[in-house]
Amino acid sequence: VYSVEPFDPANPANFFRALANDECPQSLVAADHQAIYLLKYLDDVAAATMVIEPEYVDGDYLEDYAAFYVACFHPYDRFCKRIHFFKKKFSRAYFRRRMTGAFDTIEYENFAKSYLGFIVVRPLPQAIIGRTELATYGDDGGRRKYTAIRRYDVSLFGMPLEVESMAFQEQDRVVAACATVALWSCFQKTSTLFGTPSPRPPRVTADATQSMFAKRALPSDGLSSAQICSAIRHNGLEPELFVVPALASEVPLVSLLYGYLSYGLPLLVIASIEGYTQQNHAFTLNGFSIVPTYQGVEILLPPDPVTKAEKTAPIFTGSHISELYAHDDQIGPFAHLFVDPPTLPGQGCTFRGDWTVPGALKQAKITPLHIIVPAYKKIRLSYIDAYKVVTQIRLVVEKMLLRNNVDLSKSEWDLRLTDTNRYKDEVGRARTLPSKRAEFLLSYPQPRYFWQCTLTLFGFRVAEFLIDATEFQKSNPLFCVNYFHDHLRDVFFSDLNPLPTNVRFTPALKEVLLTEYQRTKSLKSR
Amino acid sequence: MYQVTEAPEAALRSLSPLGDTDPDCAAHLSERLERELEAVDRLQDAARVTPEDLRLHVSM
Repeated sequence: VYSVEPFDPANPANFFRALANDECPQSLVAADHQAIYLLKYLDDVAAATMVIEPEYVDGDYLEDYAAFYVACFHPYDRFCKRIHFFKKKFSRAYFRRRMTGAFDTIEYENFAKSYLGFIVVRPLPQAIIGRTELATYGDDGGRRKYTAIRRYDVSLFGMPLEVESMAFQEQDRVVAACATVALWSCFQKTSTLFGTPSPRPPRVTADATQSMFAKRALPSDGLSSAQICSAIRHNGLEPELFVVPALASEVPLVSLLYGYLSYGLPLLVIASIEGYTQQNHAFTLNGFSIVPTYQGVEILLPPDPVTKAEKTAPIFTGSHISELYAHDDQIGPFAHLFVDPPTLPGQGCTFRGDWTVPGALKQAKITPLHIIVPAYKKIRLSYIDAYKVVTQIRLVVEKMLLRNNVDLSKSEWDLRLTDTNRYKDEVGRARTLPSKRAEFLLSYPQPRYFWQCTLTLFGFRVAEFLIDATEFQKSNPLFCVNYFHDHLRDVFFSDLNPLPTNVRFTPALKEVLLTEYQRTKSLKSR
Repeated sequence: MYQVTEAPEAALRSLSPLGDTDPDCAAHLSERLERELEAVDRLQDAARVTPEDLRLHVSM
């Protein structure tokens, strides 16, 4: 028999009781970090009512059960509980009317709109938080972007409901450790982006440990980077691994994360956490907070070796990102990660969040070690490959600016993955290009995936460079350039044209830039 | 993600084409460009993944 109860964070007994089971009493739940995090999270998203399904068959848990728990001597239950949350305050009588009434009324619509998602409660002694699909925080004036979420359709006693989220669950350290759970969350989104599989945790662990094992796969003791990559490949995707310490002084890290996240691609991060020596942790990034104000450098450069002058790193969009959002199975869904800029040349950005240093009341420093992108096979050029092309163009732009005594901080670069459908939709809506150019962009075939690099000068968009992501490293991937200001285009050309042949400045790149210059110059303004 | 607005005419119009500026300055900047392009080579190294990297274990 279901129950309808108020959700009141000031009196959390109801909530902790709902999460408790025969194996895990309410007193233990009340001390559980994830349960406390969820209590606060649900308060923040304004939950007011809980509907509890006492017996729920959860597919994810059922596979865990079949893979491991069924063979235990102790008779673990195979049924879960499911707790649904609503913003609306209502009674059991109101809920009953919605359940037994028509689903196409305005009243039902209002009820469905207040739905915030659910938590599946596993019948285990620990790691009780099973599949959890909860609504995100609000966008706070547009700064919060939860890009790697998707729509989940939910049926509550036959009532159609939906929630925009990324599924979360706590690791049980039996069929899944943190890396497995982080992969599982990633696959939830990539399955809707690319039509690839979305395997359940035991399958993820099996995929990861198929070829490399030194001990039993279950209970899981965690995964190596190679095993994570193996699981990604087994599910129709290609792993793109970035070793953060190696690129910290060359590539803007937060901008790299943004480059993929802005397309909706989730990223798996392996990090070391201050105070936890010899152990690394994995979590899934699913969003970011972007603000107009400058948040700090991403790369600290050493002084120029010849002139000894202080060097400034180029400003990419990551300099406007104050927070990242992550599913961290040891913290909770959509956990905040605040970005700390580097303090010494050669260091990269680090993060701070809900992790604390053991035995000390201070936030632990989270140092990213590896970034793993579960990319679709046609996305062959990585952020770094596109960044290489952009670096060549940027150096010509910087030469032009320095010659004109313009501070380089007046120029900003935005590099992000996109696809032809999204790009054409953007061009069609913006109408900022001459109509002939827009017609050309909309009607000519383009690569399925490409990197879109936008240059802003004095805070305004002046040019964009499109880099074919389906190409290969030794190719010439720049295929289109759009200028939004004619004079800027001519000044840029004056610097580009006389550049001597240089092995580092790809000759074909210069040719495309010049061809695109001539093509756009012949167009009259709209 | 960025704001699309009209370009600031005065600031952009003040940029001069290469022919109008001091040739010595342009030569100096070309040298700088040459040096800075080495960064492109360094990016190749930054992207390299070693077998040791693949052994990084995640266990928390």
